Amino acid sequence: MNLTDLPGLNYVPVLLLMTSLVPGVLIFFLRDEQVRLRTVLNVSGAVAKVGLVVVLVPPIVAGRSLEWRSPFLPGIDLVLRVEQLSLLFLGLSALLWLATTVYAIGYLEGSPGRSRFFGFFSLCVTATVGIALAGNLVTFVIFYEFLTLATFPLVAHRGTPQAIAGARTYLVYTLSGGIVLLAGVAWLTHLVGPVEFTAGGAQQLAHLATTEPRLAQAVFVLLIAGLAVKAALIPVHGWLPRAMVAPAPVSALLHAVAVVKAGVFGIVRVVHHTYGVEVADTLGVLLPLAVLAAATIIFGSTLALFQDDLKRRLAYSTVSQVSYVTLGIAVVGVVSTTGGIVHLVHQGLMKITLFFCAGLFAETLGLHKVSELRGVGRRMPVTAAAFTVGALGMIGLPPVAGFVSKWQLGLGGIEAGHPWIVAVLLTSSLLNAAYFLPIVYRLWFLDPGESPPWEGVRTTARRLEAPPSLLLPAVAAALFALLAGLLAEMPYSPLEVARKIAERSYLGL
Amino acid sequence: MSTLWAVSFLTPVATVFALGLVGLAPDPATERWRRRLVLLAPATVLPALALAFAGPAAGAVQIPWLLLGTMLEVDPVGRPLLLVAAILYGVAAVAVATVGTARAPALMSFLLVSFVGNIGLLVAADAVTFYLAFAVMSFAGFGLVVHERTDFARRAGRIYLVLAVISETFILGGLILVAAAGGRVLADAPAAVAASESTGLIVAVLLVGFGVKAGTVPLHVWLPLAHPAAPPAASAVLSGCMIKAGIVGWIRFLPLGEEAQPGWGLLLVVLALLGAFLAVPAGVLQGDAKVALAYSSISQMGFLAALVGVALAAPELADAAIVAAVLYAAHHGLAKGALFLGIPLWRRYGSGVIRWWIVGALLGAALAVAGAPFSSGSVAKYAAKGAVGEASLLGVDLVSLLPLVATGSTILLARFAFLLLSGPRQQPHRVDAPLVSWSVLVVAGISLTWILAGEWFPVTTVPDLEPVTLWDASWPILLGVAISAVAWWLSHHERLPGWAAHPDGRFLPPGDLVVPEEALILRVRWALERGAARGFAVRSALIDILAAGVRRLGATGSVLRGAEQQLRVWEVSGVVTLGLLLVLLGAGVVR
Repeated sequence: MNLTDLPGLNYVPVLLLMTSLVPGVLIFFLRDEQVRLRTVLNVSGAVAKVGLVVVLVPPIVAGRSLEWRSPFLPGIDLVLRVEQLSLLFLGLSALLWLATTVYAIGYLEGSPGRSRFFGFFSLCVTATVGIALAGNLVTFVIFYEFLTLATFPLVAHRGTPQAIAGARTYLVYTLSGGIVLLAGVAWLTHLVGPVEFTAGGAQQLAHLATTEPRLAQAVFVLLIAGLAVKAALIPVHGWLPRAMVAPAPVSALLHAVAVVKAGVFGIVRVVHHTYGVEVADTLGVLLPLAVLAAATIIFGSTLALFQDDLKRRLAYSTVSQVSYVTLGIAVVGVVSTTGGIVHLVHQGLMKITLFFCAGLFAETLGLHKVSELRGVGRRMPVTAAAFTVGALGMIGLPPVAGFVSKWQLGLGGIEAGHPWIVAVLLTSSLLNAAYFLPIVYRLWFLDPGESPPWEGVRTTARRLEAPPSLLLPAVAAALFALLAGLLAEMPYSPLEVARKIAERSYLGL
Repeated sequence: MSTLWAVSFLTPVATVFALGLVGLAPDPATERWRRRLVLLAPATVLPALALAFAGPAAGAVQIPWLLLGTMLEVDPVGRPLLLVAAILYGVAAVAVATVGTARAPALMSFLLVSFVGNIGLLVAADAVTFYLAFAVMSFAGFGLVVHERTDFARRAGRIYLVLAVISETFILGGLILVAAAGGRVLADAPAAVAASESTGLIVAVLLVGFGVKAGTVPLHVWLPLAHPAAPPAASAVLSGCMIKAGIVGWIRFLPLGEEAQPGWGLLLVVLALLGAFLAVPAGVLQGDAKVALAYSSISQMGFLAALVGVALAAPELADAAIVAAVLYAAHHGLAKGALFLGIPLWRRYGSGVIRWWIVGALLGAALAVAGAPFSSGSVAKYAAKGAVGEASLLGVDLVSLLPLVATGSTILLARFAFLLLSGPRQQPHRVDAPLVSWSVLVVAGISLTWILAGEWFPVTTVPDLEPVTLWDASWPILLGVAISAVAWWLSHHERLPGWAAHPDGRFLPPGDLVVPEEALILRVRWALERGAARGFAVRSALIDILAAGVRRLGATGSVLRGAEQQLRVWEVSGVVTLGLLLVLLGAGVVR
């Protein structure tokens, strides 16, 4: 059966949006006590999305694409398209949404405001899917702003003064960034008309770059500046550590797939599918971006060293790790681009593992600080093992996925004639080791002591160390992080898909 | 044959997983299973032993889907060391499994994981697999070092880990450079490095990266701490196999035999010989038998590193030097492993009849390390002598310097013997599995290098036992014995200052350079933390000033008054930083 010959197939992108939008809207009308119905809605939506994505993988990776478009503004269409890059991001978000939904159901059991939470949670995922599918800049901006608004109630969910403050910081930063991005898109549309995302760059931009290079540069700076807020590039990273007040599943989603990833995904779209990497290179805007990314990598890792709060340490680690993606795509060359794009997925898998584990420590034993984790490996061996996998991956040790990214980025840096990138990566590795290995050491090699801080803490779990709805997603995410590295050269692995995307970006060269 | 490959790696890995799973639910029934698994664990080295004997017949394996494409092969460099690893880890595992080791399952797990990494790096045929195996071995080694959980073991572990991380980082950088130069496949690596534009950089990075593992001065500081801290079985594999991985790394990736690197070669030879000779006084001043042995390892590794340095400087000597280094590494691995494993045996059997066998076997192993005639050490040293050939260092022939390493070894081993024999021992014990397996190790160790030299390396001729060779092999040892005897006599009659007559490791603490280094690091860290605190203070002060400014603005205009109440410090910093970013990016673009 030929997939693209089926009638109505072009509605698949809309269907993908609906799998989370419909449950999300319905959940708002449920009472908090309607746990079973809400769970059914949530899980069936998430499973349906994973199923759809799985079916889409072979044809899309083979090079097909599906497109849905509808008139939106005069001369501007709303475009949703499934192609390789959107599939990669879509796959990541579908998988992690399922895991996080299961986790969140367990995490929020019995707490107030669950219907509101899961409603916005689904909207947040809808926005992420929209960002993945957006086929032109205007569609992208719409979902990008939608994401900002849908996430705010999630960060503020607990309603404490810190939660509200953190959420407002988040809102101010991201809305400001959104305005700058909108300005950039509006300016560009005014200059060259609506821009469709095209592998290798849009024709209009190539034209603009030759006729009006200064303008093209200015627009690029505006677009990247707008995206930089969510991508947590310095100096606009400040909201990320403060958004740590959010409940663990929100942090997990925020750092692994939703907000931060939306920012870097946008940078990929702008550099590779709007300007085109060669055009951007001739404009001379890539090197400053690479340097900024490198500075962010070192800065984030350094600040992470000084955090005792586990989630804050993880947040600064995200600041650093997400910039690997930006670094990879700001360097010209297939290998480097592959490394950047594949790190979109790899960082997501590893970071969500770490946040799930941080949530498990907090929820099961009431531990929030690195200094409290002495000997926890004995009390929660499975969680500690999953955390260890994530941490080693972040350092870049094989066979965890992080190594594959680092290897590609390093090779790509040399290939492009920027050996300093290897030095940046290695410094970051050293710093990552310096702030992750002490945690691993505390978990496994220190004694909990006479009266561990969790003495007397009651858990609902009987045979397992923690409720299965929290433990299973963490273990699954750790396994995926491990397999993405171990089986990096398997067909349909993130690396293989990323390589295909990167190669298409350079086809025109 | 691919079954043999799979079994070699999967059996130990599966055993570790099983141990971990069984450990999740501690109760009497699973406790029984754990004991059974620990007892079975030593057998998991057997497939690797078969792999070593099969050698090239095992064929090359390619697993394109694993990691970034995995390639494995038993080649002439890896084969003898694979054999040594299988034997030594096997004997160490027997010791762990059968003597009442504290937390034996944990120690066994780390031992097996190290084993998998160790054999992996010996048979890896591509850079990524090599790096994976090397990292697995290094990090599992940490578990061996800190196993005793004493303060001493923790400090040793901390220093081991810091140096291991630095080493891994340099190695990763080096291997990325090697791979970028076209040396992903190990067989192509030396040529690719030689042809690269940045050969010097690659060589420098790899010298540091693998130098940590090989205990090259001044990166050796972890060795004298890690060895006494780890349980004897772990010290045996640490000294016998793991530190050899550094030498293997050099042989695999340095442009040996391709391009002369006289500068780097000379530097390595100088550092290597510094280590070889300075380790002798440092080791003699120790009060712990295991520390003395650790310094002996540093000295011997200096000898090995000197061979690599010669190969680096003189391509025409490279082939012979590599063969000599591999033979010597194999011989030293077995003999030194036997010495470490002999320590607890002596303490257990030291007052019964069996002690005579143990003393005799230890003496045999010690003589082998020193390179006495008829021993494996003499074969290895003879090979080394042939390899060094005409090479000279600052006008002195290396050939005339190298025998003095044997003198140094003899002195160190005499100190070791003194410390061991005068140490504590228990009531006699009946014959048990560790004793039997250790005896096999000693016999194999002393005879194996002979067989290897003849069978696997037909190029090296076993020294004919002519008088000249016999004398060549004997005098350095006799000299060492004479010096030791004089030193003993002097200290016995109190003719020496106290710190030299009865050294206890206080005059020169184990780890030598590490003591001032630790102090320096603490001071740097303190300064950094103070600097960071000051940085945060400056930042918040700046933001306060900005916020005050905005508030003043807000107070002037009625439009802004509503916003004023909303504004918080962070909001200001958000807008300000955004503006800053624009300026920064703009500055980068409008060059």
